[in-house]
Amino acid sequence: MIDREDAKDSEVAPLDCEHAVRQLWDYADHELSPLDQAAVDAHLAGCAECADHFVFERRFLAAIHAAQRVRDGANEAFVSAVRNNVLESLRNAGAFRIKEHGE
Amino acid sequence: MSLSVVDEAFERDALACLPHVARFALSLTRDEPAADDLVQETYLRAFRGRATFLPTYEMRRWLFTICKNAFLRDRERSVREPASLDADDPTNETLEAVRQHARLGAEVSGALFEQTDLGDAIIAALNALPATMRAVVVLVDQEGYGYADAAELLGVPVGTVRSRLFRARRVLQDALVHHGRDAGLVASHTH
Repeated sequence: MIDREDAKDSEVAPLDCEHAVRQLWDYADHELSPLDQAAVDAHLAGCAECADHFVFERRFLAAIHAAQRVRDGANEAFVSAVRNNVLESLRNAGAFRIKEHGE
Repeated sequence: MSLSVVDEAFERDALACLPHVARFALSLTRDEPAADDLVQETYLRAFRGRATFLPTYEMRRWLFTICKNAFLRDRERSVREPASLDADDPTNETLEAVRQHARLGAEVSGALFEQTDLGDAIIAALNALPATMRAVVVLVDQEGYGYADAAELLGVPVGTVRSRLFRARRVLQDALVHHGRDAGLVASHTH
């Protein structure tokens, strides 16, 4: 664990563990400013405990993203049916050039 | 019948986005017949408004916006979700997610991601989320939009996207731990 006293000599603005963790999702989503991103990087470089948390949460995010493929597979028949219905609706609305299975 | 540039772009680009729009609609409705209706309404609205589509627009984003607006219009007739969902400091959710991991321990937390049916468990947990939270997860975690883009698409402030996203992730993580417990990977005392 790192607190502000331990980290006061760091080159970038030092973060304690709580402040680093509070920025976890913003950091993982690349939503922090470059300066804040660097501050979290510096904290993680010196705090194995937080680094372990961040690795876990990134694996969690990767799992959510990967679940999309499961969802896509399960929804394949649904998407196909919706496509046919949309084409029919558009054809009825005057989009005559849209082909039966066109994309 | 001659086809304008606008019509050609619509045929080419809008229909290419259909799988994304269908999945987004399903994430909002959680009901296939309702999602089917929503996608049809989305494309009909888009087709009728295709002349307003500017070259600077991104087609998928434009269709998502139409889809979301159509969904919200229908939802106005139903019960609103509590506003308190967006009121908390979202970073508290981040702290709790990390505390959850700390309780699990390294061996268990690593094993959570080795479950063969993890994807099914996540989809089930995602489907159990309130629509407002689910939409943010789909946009940010699965469709790859940033917070600002997701906020614009959903018509809410960026802070609301963060609140909903962080809360949703904690709920999903809790569901993952429950699933691990059912699989015997997580001891009950870690709950």
